[in-house]
Amino acid sequence: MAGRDLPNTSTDELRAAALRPVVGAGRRFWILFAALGLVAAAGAVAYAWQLIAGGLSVTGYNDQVFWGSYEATLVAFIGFSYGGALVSAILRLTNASWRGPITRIAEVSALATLLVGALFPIIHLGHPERVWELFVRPNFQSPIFWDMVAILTYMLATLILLVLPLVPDTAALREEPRLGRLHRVLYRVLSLGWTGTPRQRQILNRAMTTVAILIVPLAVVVHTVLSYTFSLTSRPGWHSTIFGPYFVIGAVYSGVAVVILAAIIYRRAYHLQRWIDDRTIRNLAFVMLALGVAYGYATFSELTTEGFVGKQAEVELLYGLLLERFAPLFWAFIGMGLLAPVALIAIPRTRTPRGIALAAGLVIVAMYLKRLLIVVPPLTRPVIGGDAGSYLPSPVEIAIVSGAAAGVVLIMLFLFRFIPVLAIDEMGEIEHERAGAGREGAASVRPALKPGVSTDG
Amino acid sequence: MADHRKLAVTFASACLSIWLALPAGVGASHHGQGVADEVALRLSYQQAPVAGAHAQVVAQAAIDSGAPAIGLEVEFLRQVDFLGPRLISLGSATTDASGAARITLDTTQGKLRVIARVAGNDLYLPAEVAQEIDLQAVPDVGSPGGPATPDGQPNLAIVATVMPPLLALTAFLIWLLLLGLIAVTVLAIRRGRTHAT
Repeated sequence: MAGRDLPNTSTDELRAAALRPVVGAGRRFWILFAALGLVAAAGAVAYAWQLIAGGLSVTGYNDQVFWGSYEATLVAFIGFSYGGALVSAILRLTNASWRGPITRIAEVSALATLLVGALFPIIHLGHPERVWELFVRPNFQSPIFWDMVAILTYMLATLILLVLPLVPDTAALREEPRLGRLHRVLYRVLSLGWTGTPRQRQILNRAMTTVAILIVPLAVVVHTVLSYTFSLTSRPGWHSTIFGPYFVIGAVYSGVAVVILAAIIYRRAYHLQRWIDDRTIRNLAFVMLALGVAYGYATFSELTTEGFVGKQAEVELLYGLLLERFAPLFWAFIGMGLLAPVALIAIPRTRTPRGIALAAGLVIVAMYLKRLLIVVPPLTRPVIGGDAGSYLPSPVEIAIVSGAAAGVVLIMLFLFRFIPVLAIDEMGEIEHERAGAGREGAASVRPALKPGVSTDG
Repeated sequence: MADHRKLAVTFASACLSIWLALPAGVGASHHGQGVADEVALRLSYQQAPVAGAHAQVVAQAAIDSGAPAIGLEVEFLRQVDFLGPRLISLGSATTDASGAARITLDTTQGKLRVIARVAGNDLYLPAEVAQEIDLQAVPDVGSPGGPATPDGQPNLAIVATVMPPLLALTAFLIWLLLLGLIAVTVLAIRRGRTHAT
């Protein structure tokens, strides 16, 4: 029943395209899968070593700088997740007609980054075996407890946001002859007996709208609470009222970059240019551009607010960031994370899928760097005397963080081996609405199920 | 004659109005001599006694004779240089019987350039003094009973008591909503597969 009232050829082509990652894993896929698996396994071994060899002593942490790459990775990955969920939810709520091809990628990237990111509070614990005490002996005054509550709640909502739209898609594919038995059984379970009656569609739409509405404030709460881990401490550089919105904007910015990069990679690898067309990528790039400018302003605002009052600690920290010790990293962030991506998207000549992919890649790297710059410099400045601290991530940390990044990609690859990469039913429904609007004399629109324009071959 | 009397009354009432409208004390001479005193300002500071407490800046105001200048409003400022030199107000205080005006600093350590300024009035001439102060970090030796609770803030205690259960209830309700939503949706979709409308 997917793609109702559509020409059969279009629906069949869409189904075939959506199933390409499921049925068409070639040699290159397995090589990539194995390579990422090795990196992830190296990360797992490094974590095992951390547990065996005396906990966090194998990291670059010390008395002064007691947080580092693990906290930065937590903030970065939850941020990536936030962008994916928000793109999907907001585009759905606003009924944006170009959302169809990218909502599934956005939802899967949101879940994958969240699953891996949520591990980092545990990896960061010296005694992870005590994590259960968060549940049985909660400290309601601790931001860490509320972090856990917020992340778990958001994880549930993200899972529902991914699973609900899968109901009609799996129903459409449960008898697909190209699929194996495992897939068909899985699809039969996930489809919940969907036959596509108007009543079922009404129920599903209502549930999806409710989750989409819920996930927006939830995601804001998650990232604001995450910022509390820093801003509720009396430490120069962290204790700032702007941190909540600053974290939220940064999260969406980097999350949209992840969605763009994943969409471009998938469309190229599986020849989905006809469905994930240039217009979709460009629209997402414009969203990223707007968020980049907003994040740039928020950065300026944060630094100015701290520095203007002229308290010694803040000013020292700012000089360290802008001119001294951390200046190379800070200006690298400004160049890679703000100026270059904004320029690449703003200039029409570079606003190609390749240019946009480069911009998204730069944003992802630079935003990770920014998270490190949020965590580390304030800790290097002693609060109660003593020498300035220093921090260099240890090989164990680098292996764990690299393994986590590989893990995110692995989860995405794995999930897309089981679920269609395109939201078949949703794209059909958008096309159906368009056709209806066209029949009623509305302005001519480009059908979503007709070939789109692509310039990257 | 009546006009003269009326004019005299009008003139007298106008004079009275002007006199009443004048700020208190204007036109009166200080000590009956009509000369305002010069004020000598001296700045000092007191380190925070314990970690977490605040340092104080004290401006001592005295007149030429060495007597304290009482009831004088002193404005405290701080010079900052980030994005250009400028003065930021730290607050103001009035001198007490010993001529001292005090303010509490929210900075716990570091060097500050503090300026104390008196605007001047009919009794005292304007005055200003600036001084570098160097606040040293006070080591936290800890206390057996934990950090001291600020007194006189019952509202904070109420918030601290009410907020955690309120937040926990909110989180619980969101979980209930999400799980309920998925359960209801699954059931309704299964039941709705035969419904045409």
